[in-house]
Amino acid sequence: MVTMLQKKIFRDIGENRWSFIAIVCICSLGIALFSGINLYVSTVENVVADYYEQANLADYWIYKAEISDSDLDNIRSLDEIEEAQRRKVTDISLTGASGSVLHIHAVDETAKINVPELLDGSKLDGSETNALLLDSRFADAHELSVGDMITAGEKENQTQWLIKGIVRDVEYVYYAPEGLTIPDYHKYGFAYTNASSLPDVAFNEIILTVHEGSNVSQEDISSKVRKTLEGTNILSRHHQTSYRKVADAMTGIKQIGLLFSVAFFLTAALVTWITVSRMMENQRQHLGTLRSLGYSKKEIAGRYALFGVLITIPGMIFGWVIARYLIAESLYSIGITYYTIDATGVASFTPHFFVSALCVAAVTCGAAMLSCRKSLKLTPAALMRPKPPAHGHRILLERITPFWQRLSFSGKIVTRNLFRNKARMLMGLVGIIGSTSLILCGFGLMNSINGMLDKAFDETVQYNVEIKLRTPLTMEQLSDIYESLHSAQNIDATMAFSVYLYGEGGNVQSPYMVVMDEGQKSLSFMDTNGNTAHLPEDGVLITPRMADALGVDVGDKLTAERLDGIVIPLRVANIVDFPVGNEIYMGKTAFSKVSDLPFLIRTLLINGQGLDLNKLKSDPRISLVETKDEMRSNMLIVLEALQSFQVILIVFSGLLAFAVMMVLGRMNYYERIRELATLKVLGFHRNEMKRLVLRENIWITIFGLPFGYLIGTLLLRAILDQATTPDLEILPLITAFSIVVGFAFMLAFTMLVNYIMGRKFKGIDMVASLKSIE
Amino acid sequence: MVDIIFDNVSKDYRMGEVTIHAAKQVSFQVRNGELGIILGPSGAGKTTVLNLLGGMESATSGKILFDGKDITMMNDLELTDYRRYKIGFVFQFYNLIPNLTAAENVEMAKQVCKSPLEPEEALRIVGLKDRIHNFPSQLSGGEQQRVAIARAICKNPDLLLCDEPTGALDTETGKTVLRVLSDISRKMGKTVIIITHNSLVSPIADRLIEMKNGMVVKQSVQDSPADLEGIKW
Repeated sequence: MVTMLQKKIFRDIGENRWSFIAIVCICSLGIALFSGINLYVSTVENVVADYYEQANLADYWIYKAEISDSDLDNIRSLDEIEEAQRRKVTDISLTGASGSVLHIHAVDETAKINVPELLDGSKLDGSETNALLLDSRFADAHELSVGDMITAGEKENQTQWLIKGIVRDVEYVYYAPEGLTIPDYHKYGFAYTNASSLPDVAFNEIILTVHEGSNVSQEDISSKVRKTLEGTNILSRHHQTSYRKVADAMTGIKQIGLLFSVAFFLTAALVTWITVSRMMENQRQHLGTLRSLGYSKKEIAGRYALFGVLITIPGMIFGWVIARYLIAESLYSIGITYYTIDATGVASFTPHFFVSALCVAAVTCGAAMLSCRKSLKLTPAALMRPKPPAHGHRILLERITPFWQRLSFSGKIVTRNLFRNKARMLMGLVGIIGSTSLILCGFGLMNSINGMLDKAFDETVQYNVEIKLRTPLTMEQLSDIYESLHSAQNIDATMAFSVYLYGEGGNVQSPYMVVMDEGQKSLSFMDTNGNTAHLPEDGVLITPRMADALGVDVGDKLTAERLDGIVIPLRVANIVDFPVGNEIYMGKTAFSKVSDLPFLIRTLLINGQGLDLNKLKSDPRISLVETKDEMRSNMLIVLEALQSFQVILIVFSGLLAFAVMMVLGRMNYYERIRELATLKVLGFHRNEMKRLVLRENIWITIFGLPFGYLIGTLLLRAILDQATTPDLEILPLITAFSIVVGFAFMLAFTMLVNYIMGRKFKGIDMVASLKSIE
Repeated sequence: MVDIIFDNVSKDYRMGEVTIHAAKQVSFQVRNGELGIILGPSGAGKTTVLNLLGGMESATSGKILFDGKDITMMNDLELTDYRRYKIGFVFQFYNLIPNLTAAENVEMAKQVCKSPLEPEEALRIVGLKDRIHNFPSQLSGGEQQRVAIARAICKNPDLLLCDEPTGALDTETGKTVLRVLSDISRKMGKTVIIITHNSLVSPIADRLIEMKNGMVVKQSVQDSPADLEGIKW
């Protein structure tokens, strides 16, 4: 049964519907942002985690030129190992000019680890030869389907393969081999076949899983495996490209989303709290009447909590709809483009939704009940009397006589009013500062990404084409390629290989170690102070994020361990600011001092115009030819999720700003309607009234903007700190243009609200407003 | 000279289905410089008449001539200017701006006028020269009412309209306020119209208009108005 008290509250809400709607919007946005981002992240994380579990993703990959039956048995007999299987791994090039390469795994028993998931066709029965299960993305890109034949190899070595099934593979959720930034499904694919189909290839890989719950470190496993099988490369799943890329991307979004939505939520919560409290204060005479009628304090406070519930419930509904269908959906549709997973769509709920709804409920009900209880401390008679008018008093500024005297009369009124109504000013400031900082943060994210790309590709990278070789080669083996590049201004050959890099504290990272001639002109390094840094004759150059991750500084020792177990002792010669890439850099001379390994070329960095890249692209020795522009646009594609995210941020901040300004403007209007009516009776024109009453909103905005900028910068820094991965470091940057645009947005909102409120002045009923104190 | 003529003025309020006739064919006039009192019990339509005269509401029918101009024909902007330059208003509940000092409240009115009095002068007239830097909350009711009067006369209006100016005050304070108002009429030659339900005040008026149920029941000119000192209530 609806009590009269509830009925009264419903009517109160009806009378304050616009403020109420604004608050519901603010709360919805808060819930939506927080739960939407997390909904996306946990959807992807859960799908991926389930997939890893279900398809039994390997914990380690072991590479060795030839793996015998006894080798496999020895590995299997290690205590920690749960399961181990061996595979033949090789690449086959498809016939034709496409240059497509299939990465083939061949097994001689049923796959138990990294089990391929059959999407179409049938599995291999173990006996057939030259049949394969093909990568679904590759099949799509080439319009291949079950039953089709593909031809591999050149001329007399051509072989025909029958596509028996189309599969997905858990180790290639994000398939970017050969140092690709983003997958190229046309060029690279993988396939499964029977071991018997590759008689000429030896077993050269073992995949293994360790016992669940066993906490053996990667170092322990590595050393045990190496003791058992000498001369092996071992890679853990945390350093495997697909696993790492997915995990990094999700962590980045999650961290950014968390920080941003917490900041958003705080702003929304403060504004809601203040608004609800003030709505309650305006109810004080009603509270007095209720008390005098004999309602207990408990009953009244309890009933007014309904107010909070009535904000929370629509907030939850709208919040969920926006979170699910706008935020999570749009992030999902962009975010998983390059993830080969079972895209069943966004989940419906995560606990984050209920957490944020609970926060909203706590804020709204709490504010209603607390301010209700505060009023109820007074006697009913005191409550029924109008609230004693706020004491006018001199503000501090008035004591600065020269300043005060220079103010115009309306300036004085506005200034004093601002400082007298501290709660209102505070709310205005919180709202403005919060939304300004969020807007600037959104713009800043865009600026920072572009700034990072500019820095990487305009300042540091001096080459315009990079050629990656399929296998390391000597200079002599490449002489013809050099020949074809004779018109290039500069070519630097680099040796590059993966290492595990250990700091003194035992922290581990897995960068590429890049070795090149000290005289190289391809990368112009700057140290963290902005000075040019050359490749030293001793030691390595590392990036600041690597230094942070390893906890090392200039002069500290590092240990690099190649995947084949060769250990190279290193020393940090300098820290250089290169925002992209998970690499450490070393000069040839310095390298020769710490290692006997021959200099074998893996990449060529070329600076030159008018090179015939097409010819290079079809060279079988070359796996990748990438121009600087391609690298840059690929980076942008990788960052696309981040960019769509930043659009959400900007839009949401704008909405928050508008809602806050609207609540503020209405509050200012309704609480001062008597004052406004008086001014109107005195014969003030509308413009003059606006100057006296509405201009303070503009002052609040102007006053809040610099603080908004300050906090926005801090927030952006915190966000980007969280988003830094070994591959990428984005430094906070908010350009002057963004600041101007952000500030202009806020001022425009303020003026729009002022305009809307100013129109209301016309309708003020002088007689009704002044008749008596209600 | 400025005369005020109400000619058959009616005011209806439509409230849903019901129409309330707040003023019914009200006719009276007040000559320039007179102190007029509109007397009547509550609900008699006094405030409606005052609001119509003050340009705060529009009449349903009839003419209200002020200085020969019919204010019922004015548009919103003209009415604003009318209030701005011609009228001073004093309310029962003062309606001072709480965060302005006495002087500033008065100055606020001065800002919108063509030939205002100095705020100090206006406050001196109402006898509040010493309290000009106090905020409303630091003043008593009578003092606040006098600030409100000072605010009204500072505009140097042709017509001062006072809605129950003593309604919220005790006898002594009320007298002080009435003294100020009658001085404004007698010494400064302004037209002052006071509405009150207190018939004991009526002897001081030059012209007395008595109302009941929205109609004028009696209009009289008092050639020798009584002095305020002899009056008690």
